[in-house]
Amino acid sequence: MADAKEKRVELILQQLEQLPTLPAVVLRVLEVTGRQDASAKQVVDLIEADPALTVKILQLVHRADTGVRGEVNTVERAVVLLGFDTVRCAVLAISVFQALGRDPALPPGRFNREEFWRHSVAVACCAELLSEALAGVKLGIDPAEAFVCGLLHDIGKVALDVVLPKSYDRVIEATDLLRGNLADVERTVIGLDHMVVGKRLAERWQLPLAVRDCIWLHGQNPQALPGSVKNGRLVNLITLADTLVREQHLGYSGNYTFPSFKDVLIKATGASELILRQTQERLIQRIEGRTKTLGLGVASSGQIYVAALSQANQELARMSEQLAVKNRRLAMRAKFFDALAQFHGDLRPDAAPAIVLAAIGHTAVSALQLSPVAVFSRQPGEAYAEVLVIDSHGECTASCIADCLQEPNRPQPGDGPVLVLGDDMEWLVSSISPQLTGDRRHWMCLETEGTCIGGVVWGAGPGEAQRLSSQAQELMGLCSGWGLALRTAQIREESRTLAEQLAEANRQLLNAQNELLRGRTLASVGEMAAGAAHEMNNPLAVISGRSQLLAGQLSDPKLKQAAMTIAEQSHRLSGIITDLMEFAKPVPPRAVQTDLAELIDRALYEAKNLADPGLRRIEVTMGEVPAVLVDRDQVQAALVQVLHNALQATDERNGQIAIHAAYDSFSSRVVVNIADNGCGMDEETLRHAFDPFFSAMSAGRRRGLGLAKALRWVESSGGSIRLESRPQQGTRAMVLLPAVWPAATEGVAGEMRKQAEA
Amino acid sequence: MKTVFTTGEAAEICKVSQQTIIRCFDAGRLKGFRVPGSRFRRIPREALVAFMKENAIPVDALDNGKRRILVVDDDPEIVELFVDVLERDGRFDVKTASSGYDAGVITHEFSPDLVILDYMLPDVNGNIVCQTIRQNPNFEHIKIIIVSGVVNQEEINDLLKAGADEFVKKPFNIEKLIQRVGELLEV
Repeated sequence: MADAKEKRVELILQQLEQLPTLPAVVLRVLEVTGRQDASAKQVVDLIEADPALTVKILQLVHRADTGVRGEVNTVERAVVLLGFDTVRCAVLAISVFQALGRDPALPPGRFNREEFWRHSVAVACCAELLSEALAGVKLGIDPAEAFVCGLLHDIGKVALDVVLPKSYDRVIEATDLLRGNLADVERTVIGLDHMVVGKRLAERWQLPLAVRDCIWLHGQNPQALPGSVKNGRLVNLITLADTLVREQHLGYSGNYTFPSFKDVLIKATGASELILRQTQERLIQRIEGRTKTLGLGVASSGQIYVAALSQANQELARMSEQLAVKNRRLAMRAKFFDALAQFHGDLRPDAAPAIVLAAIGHTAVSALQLSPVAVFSRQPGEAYAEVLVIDSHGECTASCIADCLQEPNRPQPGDGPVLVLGDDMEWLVSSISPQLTGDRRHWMCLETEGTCIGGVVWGAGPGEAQRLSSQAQELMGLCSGWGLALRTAQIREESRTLAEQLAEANRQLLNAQNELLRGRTLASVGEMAAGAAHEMNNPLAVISGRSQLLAGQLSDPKLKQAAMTIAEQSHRLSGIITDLMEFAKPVPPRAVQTDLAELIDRALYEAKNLADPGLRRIEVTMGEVPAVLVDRDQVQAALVQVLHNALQATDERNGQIAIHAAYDSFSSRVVVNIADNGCGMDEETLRHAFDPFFSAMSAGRRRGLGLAKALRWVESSGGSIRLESRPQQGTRAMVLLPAVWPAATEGVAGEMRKQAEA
Repeated sequence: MKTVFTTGEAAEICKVSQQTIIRCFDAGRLKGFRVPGSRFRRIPREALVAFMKENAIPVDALDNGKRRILVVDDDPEIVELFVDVLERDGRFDVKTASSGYDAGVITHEFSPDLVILDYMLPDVNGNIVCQTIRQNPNFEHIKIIIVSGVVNQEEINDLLKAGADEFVKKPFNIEKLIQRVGELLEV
């Protein structure tokens, strides 16, 4: 690519070589007139050596000085009359114009040669005036040299137009369109700019180095000029002149941008505001004079002014038109920008999708002048959508959850942002349509990553898409802003839900772990108890046996009784071990359908056998309860334990124990409530109530396996025990037991009846 | 304990004449052997017991009328306790074993009427001993009481299925134990 470009540049430069060279006489004239000691005779001789040039000079002088100074028939007279400088300029102009003449066969191009030369002359005059004004200051610049440099500074443009007429047309067209910098466009379209081309041409034509540098380096910021450039001051002067001329719209330079470093130029050249003003005042007159001598047509100062003004006016008109268009566009964008800013301002960072939806609806109503609108949010993959209806005041008038039966069709490439609501959105329309106006439903899809995550729906007439077509780009921007905010809220919601689920899962895991730990602990207690039972029951058997034998041999009743006590206590110890073992490794339950009233009766009977009820009031009430499906013996033993505890906790005289059974259809369990008005338990005791061998009392209390074992038995039948207690107020034990389904009871009862009948 | 009897001893035990014993021996109704190198007749204990049962002769007179009980436990204190309790009663002839293997050997020699068997033995479990005894038709009459410190109801059921007659948990009540032994031996 780079190679191709270089090749192209090389070709252009080769074509440059084919341009006619300047006649040798021109160079000689330039050289001689530039010298301080040159004589008129030398110049005249040089010009007269070229007859064609002589004729042209004379013609020029005739045109320039019509009748004022009488006939000028000789070159010598012309030089005397007009002075070296004018003659030199004339020679130069004639030669250059000749060399760079446009092929007459081609149609006129966009690059206006006449206006261009007018511009060049203006720059040349300006540079000349500036150098004259600055002669005494610090610039030792010959005004004549400044003039030549100004005249030729943009010669590269003409050269490009001659060599590549079609490409240069494109360059001019593009620059006009973009109001850009000509050199930039040249580099883009052609590959090199007029400065470089001009420099090459200057070298080929062997123009003086100062001229070459001005062609090459003009237009640059003085601060960017390398120190090695010998003619830096001259270059800066030309740049300043160029800037001034373009400010006055004199001629056509092909360029629309102004250098931003005018102050630097003024400083670098040593000029001042005063000099600039004086220069500008005298410029038009100077141009008028020079134009004549250069044969660029006769232009009065008035015409030059008019041309400049009209060009400036055209420029202004063009700019103003563009500004108006931009302004309209900006005003519209500002509306959307305001809407979006308001939208984002309404939102808190952790807003839920419903809040974002409401804000979307609000902005839609105000930015698009719609009323009312429905907005919906749909999590990707979910089968429902959250829908809000927002009225013209931005208030939410309805909200619902709609079953999203069908994935909404996303807009196809080429669709505008405003779509007509199709059959695929029927699920949505049915729930909101009555609240919208108009007879047609339009919507805009909010999407992320190719999925519809929501939308804005409104009602209007048929022309709605056209109404909003001019704002398509802004609507899309608004939609993507909304979509982004909505998706963010959805994701936040998802992660919030996920976090909650995670917390719940953690909690369950912890429970399961506790359960597992409890199971393991119990298993190891079981192992230990089994081992202990074997190890301890043998010595206990010996103690018991020996004390029994001893008792048989003792005649003293006191000693006899002591020996019997030893035997009894060893049996008791053995009982504790058995309890512990049964607690840790309960016998697998044999669940059978059991009548609860009977179960409670038997348990109560047994509990009364264990502890004398005394004057305690014991009340049993049975609600409508189905049979329970439990291991009869184990659950009975558990109830005995709970009742026994209640008996022990209550006062012998004032004690009250209320037993009530009821059915909880929700959990399909039967609840046996055993409430007493006994001493109750404090929190610490309650927390450890089911722990084996735990006892809050330091003394006077028998082994604490009772409730622990009761819970194990009830649990192994699929039930549970809950305790509520307050010190000095009493305790309520709830024994929950799995009920046989009423229907099943009916079925079994029916079956049993049938069997009985059979 | 005496395991082999002469015809005179057998006659005394059975309360019949020696001639009757000799006749029955020679007719093969009473099993026995002759001492090698002589004509002396000898009668093993089992053969005598079988003969007495066949002919409805009370066996009480054998071993002074005492019932034989084998106590099997690896805990010497327990064994000693049982021996003390049973001998104090006076109706029982007691032998002991400390393992399942010993129990097998002694059962063959002693032919006990009742075995008090610890469930947890060092070599085999009580139920195995129980089954082994039950498999031998000669030991059909032996009653078995299993004692243990650790047994749940399921294991008790299994033991009873394996041929045990009674289960007693350690520690035990002596009176109840003796009463149950008496019931099982019908004394």
